This record gives sequence, C-alpha cells and structure tokens, in this order.
Amino acid sequence: MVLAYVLMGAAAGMLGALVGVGGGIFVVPALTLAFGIPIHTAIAASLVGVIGTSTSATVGYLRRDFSNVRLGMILEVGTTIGAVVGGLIGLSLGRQVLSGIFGVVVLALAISLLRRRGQSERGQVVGDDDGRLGGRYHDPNLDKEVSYGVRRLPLGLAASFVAGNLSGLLGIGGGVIKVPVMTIAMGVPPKAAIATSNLMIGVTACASAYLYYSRGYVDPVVTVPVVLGVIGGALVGSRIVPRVRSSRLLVGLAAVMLVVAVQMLLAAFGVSYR
Amino acid sequence: MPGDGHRLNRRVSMVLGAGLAGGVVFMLAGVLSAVISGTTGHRALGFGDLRHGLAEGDPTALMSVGILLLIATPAARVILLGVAFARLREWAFLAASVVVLAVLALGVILGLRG
Repeated sequence: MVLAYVLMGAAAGMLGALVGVGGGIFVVPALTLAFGIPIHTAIAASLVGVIGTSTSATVGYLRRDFSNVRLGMILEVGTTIGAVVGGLIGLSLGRQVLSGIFGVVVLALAISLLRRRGQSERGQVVGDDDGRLGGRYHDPNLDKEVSYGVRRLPLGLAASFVAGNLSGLLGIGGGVIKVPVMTIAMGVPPKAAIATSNLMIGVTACASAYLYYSRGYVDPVVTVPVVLGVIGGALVGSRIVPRVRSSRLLVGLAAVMLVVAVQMLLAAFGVSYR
Repeated sequence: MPGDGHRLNRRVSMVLGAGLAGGVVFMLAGVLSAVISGTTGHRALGFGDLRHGLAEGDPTALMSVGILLLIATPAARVILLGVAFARLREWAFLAASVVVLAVLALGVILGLRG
C-alpha cells in the first residue's frame, strides 16, 4: 500500500509540475476514490504534498529565472488570506459536500481552460507595469529572451484570494486558477505564470496545512509516501517543462481535470468504483 | 539589476532546496525506523510531544518533524525575501512579505486553538 501511495504521488507530482498546479487535484481524488482514505486526511496529505511539489519544482524554476518573486509575493497576500479562510470552512464540511464542491470547481476550470487554449507563448508582452512587477527570462523552447509586463493586478489579487480559498478548502494548490488568470488576464507568459504559480502554491498550502496538522488530520502513513512520491515526480516534471510547448501543457491539464471532476461529482452522489 | 534578481533567485532556490532536503531526510529516517520497529502512529505528533518522541526514536516523531520542516520551508522563503526587499528598500514588497507572514502565523494560532 505504501508503494502505491508513492507511485500515485509521483504521477501527481509530475503532472502538477508540468502544468503549474500543486498536484492536489490528482491526489485528493486518488486517495479518496481509489484508496478509501477519509477526505479530511486526504486533503491534509495533499496540502503537504502540494508544498513538496511546489518547493521541488520551484528550486529548478528559480535557477532558470522563470519564477517572478515580486509578483508572487504581492499575489501571496491574496492566496494566504484565502487559504486560512478556506481551511476553516473545509474543516467544518462533510465528505459529500466537499466532493461535490471539488467536482464543480474542477469541471468549471477545465471547461474554462479548453475554451481559452489558444493562448500560447509570446516573445514580448507590454503591460501597464513592465518595471517592478515585470520579468525577464530566457525561453529555451523559443531560444530567445522573453520580457513581459504585468497588468490588471487587482484582478490577479482577487483571483489569488479565490485560489487560496479553494486550496484551504479542498487541498489543492490553486494553480488551476492562478495560471489561467496570470496568462490570460495579466499578460504573464505561460512559463513564467506556471513557475510563479508554483512559487506561490507552497505558501498558500502552508497557510492551511498548519490548520489541518494541528487538528490531527495529518496521517504520516499516508502523507509521507505521497510527499516523497510527489517530490520525485515534480523534479522530473520541472525538467520536462522547458522542452514542451505551453499550449499543449494547458490542454493536457484540462483533459485530466475533466476526468477528475466527473469522478468527484460521482462520489458526491455516492457513486464509487471501489 | 537583472544580475541582482538572478542572485536573489539563486538564494531563494537554495533555501527551498535545504528545507526540502531536511524534510525528506527526516521523513525517510521515519520510514526506515518504522520498517525496522514495525510500528507507526496514524496521527502526526503535536508540537508538545515531538521532543519526547524524538528522544525515544519514535518513527512517527521523525516523520512529523519531516512534515513540519517541509511545511515551514515556504515560510522561511517569505522571511528571506522580506529581508532582501528591506535591503533593496523595496517597501511595497517588504510590506507584502510581512502581511503574508502574519497570515501564516494566524493559521498556526487558529490551528492550535482547535
């Protein structure tokens, strides 16, 4: 069983790093639906795993200057406040309600991603602020320097609050909201958005992970194998990202999310394939 | 300035890497200890029980320390960035760092109050 947790974690970590999410959207359904773990224990394991994924992937992204630490820090104000609020709400809700919310949220996000998949890498993006919040990195896929500005910061902060809220509520990283908002609305290129989202995910999950830890929902027998798996998987995923086109990553994420959403909605109505 | 940004990124990367490595070492030690002793608890230890558990070589305590180290790593990154922003006199980013740390502290306090 421990090996199965490790392998599941590795797959979630790799997928998470590839598409800029913490992997929680894969870990929680896998633990609850396939392994029968209570949902609050699954959320707690996922939150710690999400921190592992984020940290592991971010180590690589920072060395390549993909992550934007200034933009990340500003948006983290929204995500952390949202995470604490979401964590408190999540601890007071039952299994089927949480499964239902999880399914609806992931389904909506998957549809949103599929409808907007035309967004791809851009060499130069000019925004309202190309100075303090903007960034610059070398994209090996395009083989050129990419510089960008950041626009619509208030919208980014609001989206970050919602992403943090879902993180604390459902044990996900919230990258499924932050990446599309950063790329589509804020003018951040996909690679920088994915890397900055990963940077923020650790702090977001950290804010609510303490809540779940203190309330006794962290089961080391489940959490440790999942965390070790996701860390290994995220390391592999972050090495693949520079060689993959961002638009393909987003379509891949949307497809996986659709499957996960249907499974969680079935679980909310008491249908399980276990 | 781009050079400064790259150096800062490298430093943050090193802190995250160190926290990650520390957490993984404790978790692996806990798993190894659990395999040898054949026992482990299904609930991570509270802050008060950790020292006693570590002194006895309790596998659950080792894994709990690993988990806590990992959870603390993003907070350490925020502290490092806060210090860097203060040195660079980037007050808006320093203020954001302080707010984020305050919210993380609130999460700990709310968790401990149960």
